[in-house]
Amino acid sequence: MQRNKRFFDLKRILPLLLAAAMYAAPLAITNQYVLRVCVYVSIYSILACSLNLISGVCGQVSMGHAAFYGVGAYTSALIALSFGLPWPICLLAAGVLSALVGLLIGTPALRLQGGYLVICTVGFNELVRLILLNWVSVTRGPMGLTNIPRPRFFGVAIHSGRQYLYLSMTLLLIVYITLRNILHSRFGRNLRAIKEDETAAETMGIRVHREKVTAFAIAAGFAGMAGSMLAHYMLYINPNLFIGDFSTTILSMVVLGGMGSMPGSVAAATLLTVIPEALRELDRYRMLIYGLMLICMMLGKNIPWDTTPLGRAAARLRGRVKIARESEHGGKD
Amino acid sequence: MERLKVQDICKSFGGLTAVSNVSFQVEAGQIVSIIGPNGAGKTTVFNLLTGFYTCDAGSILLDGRPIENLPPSQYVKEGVARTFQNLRVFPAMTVLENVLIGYQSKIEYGWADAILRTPRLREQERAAREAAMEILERLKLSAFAGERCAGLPYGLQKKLEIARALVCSPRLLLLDEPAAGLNPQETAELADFVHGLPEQGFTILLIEHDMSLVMDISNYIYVMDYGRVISEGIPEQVQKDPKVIEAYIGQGGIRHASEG
Repeated sequence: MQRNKRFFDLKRILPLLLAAAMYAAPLAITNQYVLRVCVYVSIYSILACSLNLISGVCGQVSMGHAAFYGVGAYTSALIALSFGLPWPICLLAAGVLSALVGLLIGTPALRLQGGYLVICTVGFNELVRLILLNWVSVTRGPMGLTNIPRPRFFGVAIHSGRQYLYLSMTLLLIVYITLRNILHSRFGRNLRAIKEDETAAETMGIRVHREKVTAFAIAAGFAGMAGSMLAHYMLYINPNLFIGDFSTTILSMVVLGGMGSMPGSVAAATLLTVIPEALRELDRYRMLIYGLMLICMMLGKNIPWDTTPLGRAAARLRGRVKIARESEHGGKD
Repeated sequence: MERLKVQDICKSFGGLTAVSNVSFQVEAGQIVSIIGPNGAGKTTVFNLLTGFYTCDAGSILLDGRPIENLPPSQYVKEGVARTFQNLRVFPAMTVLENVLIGYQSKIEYGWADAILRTPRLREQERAAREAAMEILERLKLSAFAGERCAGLPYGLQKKLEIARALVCSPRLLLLDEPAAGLNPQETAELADFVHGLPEQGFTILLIEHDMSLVMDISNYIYVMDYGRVISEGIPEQVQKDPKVIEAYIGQGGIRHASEG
């Protein structure tokens, strides 16, 4: 009992400590380039976590997540440019519109299973790219949107890298907590049940299609918000940022982080953002090495580590620690 | 009082008639079984009773309310829960979570409660957990509550599937071959458990191939063959009916057929 209580406490305090560390860290970063990479890590983490809800948790693999990111970015930028509305409103509008597009696409698409759904979402991503590229009167086509206003709070514009990092980190935190709460509710449980066995889920009274579409729309909405963050950070966007290739990258983050694991998604998003940056000096070999590393990481994920000598040693160590802890616990009683 | 009243339901797939003019009824608080050789249409009847197939004709009344041709997810709310012939638990989820999924139709909080983790959510989640643990306790599964389903022996997974259906507190419980794949000891245990369910207010419709189980616990039996009900009655009557013996290949009667 005592041990349970202590475990519970640790579980409660650890996230708070992590959040505190997260908010303290930017103060120590002075390098503008590092700050920039960190902002991208936050934005990509939002994308990975939101895709994780529908693809990781619910098992409905989508390769069109960048499309919602794009819809959000353009919505936000266009509203800011044409109406001069403050950024929080643009952010919300981006989220809502992307979620609506998600609802519209998800309703028919999520009737499809497995590979068919994947191909459908690939097609959707291409569709959005082509619209952004060719609807020149609104999106200015390949030239993209420029002079997107910076977010302002109380009349002061956000401009330094550190301020942007705080802003994007806060957005990530809100998205993360929201998704985590969903996962820990009956909705998260239902989504996992749907991934396991749709027929059984349906029999237990879960309206499978409706739950899938809702999760898809929520994921799309958060991707749209990430797009808004990007637009008002880069101050310039063009259709190339939202192509299918990038959807693949987001999906890689979800897969690498472990389907269904939110901390995993953040960790993988960090890794897959930092590695290409770290390899920048290798110039033209960069993407080659990145690709190879990605293959190795995915293969490494699938190795049954517990059966390798390394894994066995680790298990022995864990066992020893556990025995030690238990004997200590027994002594206390 | 009749809990379930099925009248002249029909279902055909293309030219194949799987169920034709089948009628039967289940009295509240009884165990009624449907038996018959493979391909007789028993599982099709279950699928019609739970909305996985739509009836071509006929009606299904639960306590006088028509329940035919609803979407499958609606049946738990109407009071019908089922298990599956080929085990459908959620393997990657824990035993407790599996039962919680069964309870989900009774949970009422919405998305806003979920995102904000309101007291309403906490209250209902606690109640759900208590109800789930109570069922697990009753089925002697509570020791495995935190374990992943996939790691459990087959017999326990079968039991868990029943627990998941019971937690909905259904007015009618459909069990599709609950003893399939169980060893004799597990089967005997299952028989005891199912036999005790009517006392707790459950009404059961059972499909089963294990004849000794069926004969021991059923109040009434319907025999199907080629999509029709060919015989019905209390176990002793059905056992002696020549039509039933013929359906099960004739020769030595039902007992041999079930062993072969």
